[in-house]
Parts: sequence; structure tokens; C-alpha cells
Amino acid sequence: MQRSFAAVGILLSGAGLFWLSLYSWSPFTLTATDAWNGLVHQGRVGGNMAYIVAQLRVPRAVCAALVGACLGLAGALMQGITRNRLASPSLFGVTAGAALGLALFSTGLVAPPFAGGALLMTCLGGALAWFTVFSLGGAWSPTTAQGRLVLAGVAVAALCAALTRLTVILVEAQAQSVLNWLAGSLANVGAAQVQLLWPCTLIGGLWALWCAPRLNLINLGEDAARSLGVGIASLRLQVFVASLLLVGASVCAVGPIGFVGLIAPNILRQFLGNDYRWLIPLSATLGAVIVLGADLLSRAVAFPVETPAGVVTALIGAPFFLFLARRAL
Amino acid sequence: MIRPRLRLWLLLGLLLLATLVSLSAGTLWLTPHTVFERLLAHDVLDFEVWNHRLPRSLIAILAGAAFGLAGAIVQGVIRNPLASPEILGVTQGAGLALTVAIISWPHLPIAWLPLVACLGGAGGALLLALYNTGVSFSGVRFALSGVAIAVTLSSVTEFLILSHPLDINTALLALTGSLWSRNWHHVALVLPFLVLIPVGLCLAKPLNLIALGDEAAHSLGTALSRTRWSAMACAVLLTSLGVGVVGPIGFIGLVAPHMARRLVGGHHQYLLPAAMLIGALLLVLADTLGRTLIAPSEIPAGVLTAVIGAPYFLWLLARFRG
Amino acid sequence: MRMLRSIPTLAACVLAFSSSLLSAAPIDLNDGQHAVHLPDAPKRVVVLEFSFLDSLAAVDVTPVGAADDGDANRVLPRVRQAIGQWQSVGLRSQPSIEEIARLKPDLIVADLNRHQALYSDLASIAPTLLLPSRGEDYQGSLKSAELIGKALGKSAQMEARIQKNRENLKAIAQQIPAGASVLFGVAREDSFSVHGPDSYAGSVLEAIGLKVPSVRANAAPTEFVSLEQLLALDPGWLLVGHYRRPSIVDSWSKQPLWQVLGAVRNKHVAEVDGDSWARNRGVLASEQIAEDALAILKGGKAVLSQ
Repeated sequence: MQRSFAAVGILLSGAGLFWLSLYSWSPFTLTATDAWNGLVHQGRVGGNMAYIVAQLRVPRAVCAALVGACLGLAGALMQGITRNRLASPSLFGVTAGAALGLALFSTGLVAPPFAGGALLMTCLGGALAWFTVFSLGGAWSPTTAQGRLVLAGVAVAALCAALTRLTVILVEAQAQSVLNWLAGSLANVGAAQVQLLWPCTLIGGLWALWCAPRLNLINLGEDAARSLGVGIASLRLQVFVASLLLVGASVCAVGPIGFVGLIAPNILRQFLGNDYRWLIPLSATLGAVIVLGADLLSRAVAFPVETPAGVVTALIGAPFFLFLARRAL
Repeated sequence: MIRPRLRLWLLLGLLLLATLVSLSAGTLWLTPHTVFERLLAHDVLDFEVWNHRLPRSLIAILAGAAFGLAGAIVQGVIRNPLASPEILGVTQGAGLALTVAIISWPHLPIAWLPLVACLGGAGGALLLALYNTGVSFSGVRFALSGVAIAVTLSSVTEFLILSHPLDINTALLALTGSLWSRNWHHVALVLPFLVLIPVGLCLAKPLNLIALGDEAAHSLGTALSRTRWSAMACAVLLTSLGVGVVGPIGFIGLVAPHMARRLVGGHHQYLLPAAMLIGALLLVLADTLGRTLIAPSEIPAGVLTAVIGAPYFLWLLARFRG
Repeated sequence: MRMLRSIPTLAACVLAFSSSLLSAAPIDLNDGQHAVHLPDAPKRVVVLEFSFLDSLAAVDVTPVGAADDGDANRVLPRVRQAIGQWQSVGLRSQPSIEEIARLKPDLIVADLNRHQALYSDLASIAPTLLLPSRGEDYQGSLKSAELIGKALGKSAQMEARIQKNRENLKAIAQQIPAGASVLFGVAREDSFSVHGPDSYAGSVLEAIGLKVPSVRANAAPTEFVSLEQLLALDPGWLLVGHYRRPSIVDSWSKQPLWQVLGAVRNKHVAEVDGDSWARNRGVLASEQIAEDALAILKGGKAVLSQ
């Protein structure tokens, strides 16, 4: 019962935030009618305002929801496979690695010329970071202290951030650009980003759901899982690829946004326990809610100037992490 | 089989050599003979050696040694190879204090910035201490709490910078670890290191005992908690002051202790001085490269220490897998 | 006899000495931060910002060194033509003090915003002027140019040039349709930064009688805007400087919403050189901006340097 309530609650708040973000905090005066026209009639009815909603607001809100879902899913997956509640794409340096890949691509230093080159670079960057962190942190050894992976992740994230700065400095000696790279923002997303995100979210989400029962078994203990026939190495590989796709797609679309993958699964654990069949889909939904909320806040905080959504999630997520770190250990 | 003490001397020799190279290198390469001449002449108007490369190299040596020593102390107390002073929230506290000062008082004289940074670093460390009161000490938990505080402080800093785009350049310059524009005034600011570093070196014996494990240390009579706190305080002071003078330069505190361990083993009587010397060597090298690679433009030393740290990280990775 | 032969030599010496005394004209001025004393008109000048290069070009003085980010192409073409060659001293944000000292300047002009940390070093090399450059508007840049002219001992020439500049801009203003609204912005691959009425380019445009919309009350001189905000600003003319290609404006122009902009429908969108409009500031830069604006408003194209 509690689970259904939680699920419905999250879905409703998600829908509410989605609706709000269609017409609030705009330099224009958008009304709910414009939002309705924009959403349903795709702006063909209702004049310019509705057209703006349809062309800018709807893709942005959809993008926010998809990015949140990707990050929530990735966080849940990483926490499942490492049995570490602090596992998340940003704390483990995966986001930073993906951002480095994107920087290398966009500055033209390492730019595969085919379509999808950007996504490839972000996934590669994230993969390298993940690989480094997990090897450094001894992720797969049974005696690993929980925090060791986080320490490795922080070190790798700092390294990737420094290399990103170096890349931007070498190509363009502009202070402003560096910060733009390192703070994910939804300000300039459009249909192209949505096109990129929805297949990745769908594939990643379905794959994650398919892994969910096995993740439950792993949480009973690796030996127990092995004796029940779970192929652990194969599961690790699948989770690796799925998470990379999810994180790579979201960084490629909007840049690095952190803490969503940390917050969503941990909040849900309070209500749902450790059942990954519920945790995974609801992490996706709660992640979407968080990013939608952050995007709203990013427009509201210094209206009409926008703050990058990545900074807002960091401002919310960091204190949460403070609280979690004190309790989790 | 070279004995540890001999290796320390070798390191010192290497450091002196690197310093000589640093003094010769720049937008124009000078011969060592010219360098010595200039050093003896100590002409205040000599903006190649005496008034530019020499103070910069001195600061690089002292700050690098401080970061290296702080890193070795932190790893000794937390007993985790991935812990470093950067994750304790000191650097980020300094950065936040600098940003707040630059935004609130745009006409603040530049000379005040190191003091502000030190206060900020001490503030970050204080937050860390407060966060950890009332819980029994666990190395990893302490490090994690540092990470949490560091992340919180740096996200507030980022928010402030992004919402005040006019002051971005000044703030970013102060927040970039770099030795650009450091001169004899800044050397005066690093003089406290000459006191702090020997104090840090005295921690060698207690750190050896801690390395044996908590129970062994207890049974040997060390006042464990007091030692930990004073060691951490020393590391925090070293890092704070360093960040105040050169800005946040990372990876030295992470990488130098590891290299030192490879060279001289785990006894802190050798490990601490080795970490110091390697830290100094790293920063001198980073600064020299930064000044010469794309001269007359400069790459900040903080960026280059990361680039030097990266291959070492991968090498560390190769070792850990084995 | 010996005495008689030494008199012409003595007279020559006295003449030479007095003439050197007469031609040594010390210059004293105050840059708003410090009092600066120059024993004589400077011959070897080092400048650390593009706007100061511009001021030198206005009075045909060639510097021995300049901070040009390592890329002389960033400097306005007409400034480069007026001046010729200089020695690079590195990045504007972190110039190399070694290079500066090696050039043995007798006047240094530095940016108040960026080079305060270096001031004591610079001042011991040569008399140093600390002038605002970044975040400065058109009127402010004229004041800085006046001070630089005074420091060079060429006040009269600089005054004349500034007067000519004012006349040029007035002449251009007369040819421009009154009250047209023009918005200039700089596009990177993922952001678009609008230069409002308090920015350098914006203040020049207002000086020639154009209206520059403001993003909000109390806006900073330059602000990042999204497509939605750009639509709300809806300027009559949109001038874009692309720092990198393909830029965000390139991807915006592919969206159907781009056609909603009045400027797009009336074909009032044009490309300008971002370096000339935003990074350079000064007397010659203002004329470049004004001429570009006039050319565009008359249906032509701006000067684009590669």
C-alpha cells in the first residue's frame, strides 16, 4: 500500500511540476490556456504564445524529465550493483568523465565526425572514469569499505574537471566558457536533445528493469546470488553499459548535472525498502521530478536571468549528501 | 639496494637540480652561469631571475612541500590511500571565502586575499570538526564527511560566481591555483611554513604508531585522539596557508605521499620528508612547465599538476589490479 | 691660445645642455589610483589590453610590446594596420612580467580589473598607468584614451582624434534611421551573451542614435539569454558575433520558432566580427562598430576578419 501511495504521489507531483514549467517564470506572460494549446495542439491554435510553449517549453520540460529519469535510473543501478548507498554518477566521477569527453568533442580536439560522435565521446569518457574509479576503489573486492569508492570517485572527478579546464584553456583562453562546461543547464535545449534522450532513456530503463530481480538477489550477498544462478560478471557488464548509456545521453544533452542519482534512490529507500523492482522505475520518476523542480527553481531564483540547473541540484544535493554521509556510516 | 636516507639525499639533489632548471627556464632560457651571476647580484630590477623566477621557485618549493607533507599526514591519520587534504573542505572553504570577499568588497586590496583564504580554510576545517563531533573516529567516515562539506562549499561558490558574472575574472583568477604574479611579498607570507613544517615532521613517530592499527597504538600508550586531532590541525594549517598563497592546487597532496612510499617505504621518519621533497619537486616542475610550454602565455600550475597526476593515477591503477 | 680654442667647445656644451633641459618635458598625471610621473615623453610603451592598443593607434604610436592572448588576429584590423608589429607579452589575463621587463619600457598601461596584483612589480619597471578596460563603456574608453594621450605627451593629437571620432559618429548617426532597435550578442557553441546598453558595443550603438534593449532592470553589461528571452526582447535588428562555429545561433536558426522573431522575418539579422565588437574597445573600435552598423542598416554587410 505504501508503495502504491508513494508511486502515485511522485507521479502526481511530476505531472504538476511538468504543467507548471510550461508557463511559469517566462519573460512573456504565458497563461495556462497557452500551455494547454501548446501542449495539446502543438501551438497551431492559440497564437504566438502557444507556439512558444510548444516549441520551447514543452521540449524543455520533456528534456528535464528524461534527464532526471536517466540519472535516477543510473543512480539506482550503480547503488544496486555496488551495494553502496552513496554510489551515484556524479560522486563516482562518471559524470565528470562524460563532461570531459564532451569538452574534447566540442572543442574539436577529439571529434569523431560521424553523427552520434558526441554521444560516443561522452559514453567513452564516462566509461574511462568508471573503469578507473572501480579499479582504484577495489569495487569488487568483498572487504571494500563503503567510502573508498567515493574517495576514488572524488579524485577521478577532480582530475576530469582539471583536464576539462585544460582543454578549454588551450583552445580558447576564456574564463567564461570553462564554467559553462562544468555546470549543466537546460536553458538551450530543444527538439534535438529530446530526440537524443528518449531512445536512450527507453533502452536504459527497460534494461534496468530487466536487471532488477537480479539486483535484488545480489543484495542478499554475492555468494547467495551465485548459488541462485545469477551470472555476476555478466550482470556487472550489463549494468555498466546501461548506466553509461544513461549518463552519457544526459551529459551529451544538457551537460553535467549531479546528485540526482544520489538523492532519488536514497529517498525512495525510506518508503520502499530495498526492492529494486520498485526502486528502479520510481527512481526514474523521482529523478524526473527533481530535475523538473530544479529547472523551475533555476528560472525563479534570479529571474529573468537563469541559473544553470546543475548548480541548483548541487545546492540541494550537497546538504542532502552531508546528512546521508553522517547516517550511512 | 639504496638505503632510505640516501634516497632522501638524492631527492634533495633532484630538487636542487629542478630549481636550477626552473631559474634558467622562462620566456628566455638563461645559462646556469648567468643564473648564478644574477643571484649574486640580487638586482631588484632584474625581472628575470631575482625578482621573478627566484621568488616563484621559493614559493613553489615551500608550498609544494607543505601540500606534500599535509597529504602524507592526512593519509597517515585516515589510513586510506585515496585521502588527501583537498577533500577535507579546506580548499573549498578558502575558495568560498575568496569569492565572497571579491564579490562583497570589489576594492579589497590584493594583499588581503591570502589572509581571507586562510580564514576560509580554517572555517572549512572547523565545519569538518563540528560535523564529526560525537562520533567515534573512523578514517573513511572522516574523509567522506570532508567530501560532503567540500562539495557543499564548492556548490555555493559556483552559485555565487555564476550569479555575479562581472566579477568572474577576478574570482576565477584567485580560485585558479597558479604562481603567476607571486613575488617577494608572497614569500613573506609563506615564511610560517618554516615553523609549521618542522612541527609536522615531529609527527613521524606518532603516525608510525597509528599505522600499526588502533589497538596497537592504544596499547603503546599514545593519546590516540589527541594525536589525531593535532595531526589534522597541522595538516589543515599547512593546506590553508598554501591555498592562501598559491590558490587551490590539487593532486600534490594525493600523489606525493604515494610516490614517497614507493621510494622510501612506510616509516614516517623517511616518508614525511620524502613526501615534502616530492611535493616541492612536483610544484616546481608544474610551474616551470606552465611558464615555458606556451610562452609568453602561461598555463596555471594547478592545471598542470592534474595533468602530471593523471599518468600516475593510471599507473597506480595498474598496480592495484595486481 | 688654449683658452681661445676651448671656448667654442664650452659654448657647444652649454648649448647642448640647455637644449636637452628644454626638450625634457616631464609629464605628471593621475590615473585615478596613483599619481604617475614620467620624466620624458615615453618612446617604448607596453600595453596590456586591446583597448590601450587602440588608443596608441589613434595617435600613431607603435608599442614595443602588447598582451594579445598570443594571437595578433584578435586585434582590430585597422589598429593592426596603424601600428604594425609588436612583441607579444602573453595573455591579457596573465601577461609575462619577464617579457615586459626585457623590453625595457618607459611606460606601461595595465588593466585596473586584471593587473592590480602586478602593479608594484610593473611600477618598479616603468611608470605604470592602471586604467579600466573590461566592463568599460564608450564614454569611459574616451576618458582612458585621453589619459593615455597625455601620458604619451600627445594630448593635442589625441584631443583632435577624439574630436574627429565624435564627428564621425555624429555623421553616421545622421544617416541612421532614428530609434531603430539593435541588439548585439556574442554566440558560442552553447550560449548567447547579449551586450546591453551598458556594455561597450551597446553604448557605442546608443551614441549613434540606436536603441539597445535591456534584458532587465539593473542588468549587467553582458547577460546570457535563452531563445525564449531573445524572443521576448524582439529587437528590430539582431547582430551576432560568432566566437565559435557552429554556434548556438546557427542551431537556433534551424528551429521554426526562429521565424517568429521580427528581425528574422524582416531579414534584419546580420553577422559581425565578435572580436572587433566585443573584445576590442577604443576610439578606432567605436568607428568600426559604427561603420558596421551603418553598413548593415543600409542593407550591406559588416567587415568580417578571418
